[in-house]
Amino acid sequence: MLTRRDLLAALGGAAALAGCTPSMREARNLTASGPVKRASANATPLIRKLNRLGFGATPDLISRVETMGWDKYVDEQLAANQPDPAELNFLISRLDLEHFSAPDLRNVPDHHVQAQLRQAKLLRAIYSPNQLRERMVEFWTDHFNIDAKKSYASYALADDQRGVVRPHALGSFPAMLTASAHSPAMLAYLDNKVNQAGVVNENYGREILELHTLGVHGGYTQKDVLEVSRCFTGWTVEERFLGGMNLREMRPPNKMGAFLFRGDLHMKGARTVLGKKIRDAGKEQGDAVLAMLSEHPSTANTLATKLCRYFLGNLAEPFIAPTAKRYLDSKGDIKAMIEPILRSEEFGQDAELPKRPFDFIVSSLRALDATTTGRGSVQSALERLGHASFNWAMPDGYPTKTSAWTASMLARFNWALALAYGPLEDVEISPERLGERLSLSPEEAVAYCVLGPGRELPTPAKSAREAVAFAIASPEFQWR
Amino acid sequence: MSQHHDWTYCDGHGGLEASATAPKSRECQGTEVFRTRRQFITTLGLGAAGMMMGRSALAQVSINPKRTSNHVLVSIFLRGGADGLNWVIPVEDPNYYRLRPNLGIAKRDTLALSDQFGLHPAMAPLMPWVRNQQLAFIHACGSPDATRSHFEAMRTMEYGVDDGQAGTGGGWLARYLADTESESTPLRAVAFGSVLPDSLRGSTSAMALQALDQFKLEVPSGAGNEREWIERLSRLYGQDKDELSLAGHETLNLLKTLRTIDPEADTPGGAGNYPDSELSRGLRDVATLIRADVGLEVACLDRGAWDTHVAQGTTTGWFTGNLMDVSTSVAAFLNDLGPRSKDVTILIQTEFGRRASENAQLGTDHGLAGVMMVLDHRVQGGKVHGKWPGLKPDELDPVGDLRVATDYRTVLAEVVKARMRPADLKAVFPDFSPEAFDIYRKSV
Repeated sequence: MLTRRDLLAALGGAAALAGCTPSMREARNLTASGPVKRASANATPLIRKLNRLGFGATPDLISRVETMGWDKYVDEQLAANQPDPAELNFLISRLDLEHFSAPDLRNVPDHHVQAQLRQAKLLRAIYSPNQLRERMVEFWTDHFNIDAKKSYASYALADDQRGVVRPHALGSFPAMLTASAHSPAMLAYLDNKVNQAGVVNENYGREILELHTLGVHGGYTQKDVLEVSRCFTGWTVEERFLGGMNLREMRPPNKMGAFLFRGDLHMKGARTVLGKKIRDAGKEQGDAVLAMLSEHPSTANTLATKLCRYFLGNLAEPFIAPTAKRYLDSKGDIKAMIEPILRSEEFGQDAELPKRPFDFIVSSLRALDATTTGRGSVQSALERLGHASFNWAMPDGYPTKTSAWTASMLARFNWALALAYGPLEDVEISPERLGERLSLSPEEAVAYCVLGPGRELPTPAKSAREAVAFAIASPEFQWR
Repeated sequence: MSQHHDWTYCDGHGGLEASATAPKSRECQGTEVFRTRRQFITTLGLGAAGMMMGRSALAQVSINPKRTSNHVLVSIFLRGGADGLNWVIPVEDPNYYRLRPNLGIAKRDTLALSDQFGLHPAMAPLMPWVRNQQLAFIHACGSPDATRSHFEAMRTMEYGVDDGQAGTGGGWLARYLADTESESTPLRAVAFGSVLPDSLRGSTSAMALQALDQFKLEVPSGAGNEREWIERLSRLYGQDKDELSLAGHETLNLLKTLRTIDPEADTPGGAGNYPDSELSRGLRDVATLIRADVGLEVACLDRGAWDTHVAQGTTTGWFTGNLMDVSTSVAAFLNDLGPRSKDVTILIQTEFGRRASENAQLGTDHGLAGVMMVLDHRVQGGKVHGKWPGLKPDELDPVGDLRVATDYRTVLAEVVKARMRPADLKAVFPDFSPEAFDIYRKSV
């Protein structure tokens, strides 16, 4: 049987693989065609709802949701069982990280792996009909933030997305927390892979309490941080893999870099966490901590606060306590927490929620029904906007507050101009085609698609291109 | 002996960092001297580390138009590990000449600094500031990093922590900017470069630019000119009072301000004879921003190519050329600023110093402690600060390196305390408690 390395040798190494990426020709299959029935004039609340539930409206989605009704759309999104378009699956299937687990991916240069991670995330956000799922993937990717540049975490990140964030994004929080604690990428990022008896590393112990579960005022002490860290001693990854230098030579055969519990590195003895005694049962000591944190009211409060603010901005406050209660009642069911939010009237009201740059870019491409491979100029723009995926060093994830993004305005203007006038590498738009599909002039079609049915451009445009620039650069388009 | 040395893969142990492309037999002591930036970057080419190092002398600038102080921190990072022992030279120590029989610089060739130390002759352009006691040297200064890897050591210093690999807190300047945020401003930080340096990593308010003239609306051809588009967009921004509308409005105002500066007409003041180098061009941009009063607070610049494993030279050659670039560029910058130079602190640091003994290729390998320089009219200048660990065999570390006597954060914290906005030093340097270390004059 051909091994991965033989294959690489035959192909001429990583350079050949780098060529195996989605092309614009393939991406064009994703762009919709045919006439669209226009939605009614005042669809502003609907546009807001689509910006918040997912990554914004597309010309087809506005009409579809208006016809089927919001509640039915929420049903569909919560079920998250819409088939992804074959073309999207095909584009993503071209990426190395879809085919290789971390050890074999190690033959691909680090920055290519990061680029593919970003590309896959962006393509799904733009083209997947399961918008709520992709929205929650964005939310949980920040919640369980991992910096691709830390400790070779990039190689394990595809597995983390596949095994931690994506399957549980609309599922059970306790299950996601457990998967994250076992994830080699997280074990590397927060140093738990070197947390062992005698040299206890508190990084993971602290962050799981402060950021993943209880919250900084969630009622734990420094002693709890230490005790939790001791419970997780010996939770590591298979020997040496992804450890640092000359990995190929160091990696013992059959070691896949998977999670590994090492009893010999586990600190012996019972521990006391949050006032409760946890007996020493090897790995189960860490499992007991996860169970305890999952059931804790402070975890419910942390998650409820964060989710409500994420979806409802400054209208969140009255929703927090009921959402926390639903977490506890449902034993951590994420759908149970967010469903009432999605169906609320406030969900369509002005809530001063800024579009972070990822939202800004994705919603601009969706609105204009753009063709893109998700790399090239789109990724450069995200970098310049300060929001490249998997590139946040700190464990708290990219910030959500508006003041954190005020420096991005120039880059937003430049994206609006570049998208309008092009030509852009790996991105194409056609206001003329939008006009034909909607039976509107290209300028009117741009206002309809970007700002919403019944909305006008903030200032008259002399051409369709100018309309795109005005609409995307407008203050209105910067809000979710 | 002719080897090819790919700097990117040198891990500091004489081994190589993991890479899909680096043949495993290459050694750190190999030789390929990167004398020009283009050559340097071309050779780096591949890899995330290469991308990180691709920024040579590029300025990273932070702007805050609403601040009250006029102080500007200009941080210059010498990337590659500058040789502190041939920079601030222990001219009275026979051990120095024993360890460096070929590379040692004779006392008579140095510029007098103190009883113990002389300066490399390439420091001559900065001697006026040494004599005016505005340029302080901190010797045997460094970080706890013991990997001697460029990347680990740089990350450690730029993150402002004990161990950059364990660090998940982003850059120390990013934390400083976050901690001192008083009101939201559109352009708290602007970074000249293709990516932010690690010291600014985690600041969403920092922006990367290759050069000042790239802070502009990029108007595609056929779409009109920049001035028209600033006007057009100004029609959209200006009425609403929400945070993003205000930020957009202020961004457009700043663009207008910067458009009024004609780089050709912005003539350097005084004897501002800038040499032709990346560092120099970056500093000139910084001076332009200071003159334009756009609210500059922090400017970072890089100067690469200090990894002098081979043929580093003594009073001529590679190392001398590097040092000459730094001293002439900085001198030109200060002359250019004239009286405004009183608002400026120039901080010069490097990720580590080099081995006390020279190697067989007339170069020096990665070491531990190096030199830091602070140029500021309020500093106790003209002398060397910090304990001197000595160069006797039992005074060096087991590998043969000058030990770190002063933690780099001691100096950074001093600068923050003495000259910058009131900041929580515990937040800026989380795993460090600075000891008393007075490089600044008392009565400030």
